[in-house]
Amino acid sequence: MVEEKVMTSEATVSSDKFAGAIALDGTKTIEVQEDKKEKLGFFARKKKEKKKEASQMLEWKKDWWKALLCLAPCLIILGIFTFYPIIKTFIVSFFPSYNYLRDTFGSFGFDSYVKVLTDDVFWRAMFNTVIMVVVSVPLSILIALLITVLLNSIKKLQGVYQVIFFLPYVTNGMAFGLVFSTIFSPMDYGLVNTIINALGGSSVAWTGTAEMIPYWAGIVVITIYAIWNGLAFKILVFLGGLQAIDKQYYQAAQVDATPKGRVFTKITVPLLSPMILYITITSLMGAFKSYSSVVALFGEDMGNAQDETFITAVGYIYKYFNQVTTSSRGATLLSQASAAALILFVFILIITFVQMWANKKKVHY
Amino acid sequence: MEVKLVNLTKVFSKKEGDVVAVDHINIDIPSGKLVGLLGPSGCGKSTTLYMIAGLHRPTEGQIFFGENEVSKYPPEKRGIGLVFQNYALYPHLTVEQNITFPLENQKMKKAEAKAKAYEYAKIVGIEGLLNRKPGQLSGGQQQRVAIARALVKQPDVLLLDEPLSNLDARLRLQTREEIKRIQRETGVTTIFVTHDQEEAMSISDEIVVMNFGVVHQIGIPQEVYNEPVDMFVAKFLGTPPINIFDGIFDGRSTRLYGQTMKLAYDRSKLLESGKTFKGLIPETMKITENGPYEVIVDKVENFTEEIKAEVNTEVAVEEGKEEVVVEEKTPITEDIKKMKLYFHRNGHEEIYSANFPCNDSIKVGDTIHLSFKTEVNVGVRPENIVVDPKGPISVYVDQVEYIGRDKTMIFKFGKEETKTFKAIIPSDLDVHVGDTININFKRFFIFDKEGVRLI
Repeated sequence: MVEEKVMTSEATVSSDKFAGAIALDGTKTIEVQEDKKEKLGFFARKKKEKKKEASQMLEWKKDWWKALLCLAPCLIILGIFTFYPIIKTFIVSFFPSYNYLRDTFGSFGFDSYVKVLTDDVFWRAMFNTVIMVVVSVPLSILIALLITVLLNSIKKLQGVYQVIFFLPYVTNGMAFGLVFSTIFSPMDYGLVNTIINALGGSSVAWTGTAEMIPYWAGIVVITIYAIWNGLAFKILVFLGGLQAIDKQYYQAAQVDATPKGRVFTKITVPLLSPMILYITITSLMGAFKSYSSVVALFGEDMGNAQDETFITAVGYIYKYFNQVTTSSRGATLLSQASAAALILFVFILIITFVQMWANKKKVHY
Repeated sequence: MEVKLVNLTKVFSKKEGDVVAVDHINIDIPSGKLVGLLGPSGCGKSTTLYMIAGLHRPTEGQIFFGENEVSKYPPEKRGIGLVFQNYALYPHLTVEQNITFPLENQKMKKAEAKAKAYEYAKIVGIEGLLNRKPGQLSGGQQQRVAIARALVKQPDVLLLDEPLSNLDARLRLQTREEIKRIQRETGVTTIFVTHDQEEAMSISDEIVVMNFGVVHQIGIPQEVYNEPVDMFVAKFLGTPPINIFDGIFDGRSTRLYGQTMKLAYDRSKLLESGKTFKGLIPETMKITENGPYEVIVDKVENFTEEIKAEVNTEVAVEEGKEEVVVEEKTPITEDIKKMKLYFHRNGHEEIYSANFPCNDSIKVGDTIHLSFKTEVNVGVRPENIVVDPKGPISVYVDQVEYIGRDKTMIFKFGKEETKTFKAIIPSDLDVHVGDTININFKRFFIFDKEGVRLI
């Protein structure tokens, strides 16, 4: 395994050099492109190259092998760390008795899928995940939109407010978690509990020992965490989009005596729709993949050690994957984890397609 | 609805200092008329329009719609329709939704709004495009949608910001007639802004010529063209632009580049206006018995002026055996007796003063005759230049451009001159490059050096 890794990196380096050499050998245009490439990121560089090659179809036919060589470093890395694991996951999920250590497949079958789909824990994980998606995604987008519009309409100290809202984006996750745990401390001195006590209620165990946390409280904390966590980026994207909208639309609306609410729903939202679609899809995927936030809030067991109250879909996959080396049934668990991953993948795929289709009519580009 | 602008001023405060975009302008726009605000870019015409719309707050002055002062009202309370330069149609709404948008704001019922939208779509001629999105329309169609959207709520005043600038030349001709037709059909008071004089002249009932935030002239287009109040207006209107010749007026006739032009104009008017005093050339001022300017002396001040000069004298110097003539400079001073006269013209208040050589016979209260020369600009529109063998001015033909219906002759005063002028002459007239021909002016204006019209 280690040997393989070293070999890979060597191959990458040598092909990189090779790509450079080709560029030097090549025509002037390629050299110019080399300069440009310096400024772009690694992946953007590759993309640009692809585009350029595509635009020169005639030359492309002659120089396809040059193109391939230029793309090689990227392709090799992607192949080893992305494509190969995806394909392997797909294959392994259909071989219930796949042995991880010996790399033997055994017989083909759908047992892993049956096991996953009949597992109560899997359905709990899916339920939790769907709740997080359904509650946190629309809520966070709506809140981000409102904050953005307010932020944009403020004239004085706009820069200061922008900095305040963007700060979480550059803040360390640990600092973030510490602040959060103080706000939602299960003790009476926690910020939220202080407020509840002041209003005459009794303290709620928001975080801490899993057995003590009521289910709804856990979901509330996760949702608020998810909204807060993603807010800065969403505001950043929306603010960019909002400032690109021609001011004359608003002047025209003003002349036509359009009420503020209608300006928001009939002008701002439709004109921001490409941004909203982008944010919706990315945050949907993000919500489906939520795992680290749950671990951060409720520990590695994702709730109670027996029933994993707050387990998520990705959490479920990791749980089985982690048990591969520790459990006696290790091999079959890897197949099960793979099956669960594929089910989640199909789920996200379907939802994204539905979303794209539904938005086709609504999104104005 | 009559629109009245009183002392309207807009000052933009910037870091580098205040910029006066509109400077105390007064305009009366009669009800139901189409009025064009015309001027070069940066003249304050768009700022004026946006102040009428309420999108800019005036620094000073008032805006009246009829009897109401609307200066303090926000745009939505003024009852205006505004068509933006780039139309500002909502790209995500269909043409119909765009037109009904202002009506829905007024909580009008859907069916009613649709019927109204159709009515106005028909007026502007886009009833077949109601289900399209703005992106699927041509520039001209988009503009009609924008006009329909502005008109549908039946505004008292319709404002158009550079309505034709985003259209190509052919469409522009067509659309400007269309705008005129729509305005006439709806009878709405319309104010539009343009930098294109041809556009403004062709469709406006009245034009307002502006520059540097100041109104130069307001009037019916043909009148403004025929009788510009100053050189700016004369230069701004007309293509090809008016020719401006440097001339010198000596009280009797005007000379152009050394050629005397005896032109049939009422010289007494020019003399009477007194404006010729402004551009006078001091060295040319003389007291003569038959001078054209009659003035009354108010005060005489005698003084002596010391003139220092050097006189060259030839001195014979002995150099060895030969005599050589050497030039030597000798400084001399001479006292010249002079007088400063203060005088005024009969029936005028202004008092002028000038220095003259001493003349004891002139006393306070005397009527004397003066003559002097004044620098003037003579403006002649290209179509008012005629080729006339007996014409007073002889010019050199530099170039001839054929247009079809007529041709443009480019000429200058003498072959070596660099400054060229344009004349539009009939195409059948035989004129060749290199000819020297005589021309005459059918109509011309005389402006002083500051651009103020004299006659």
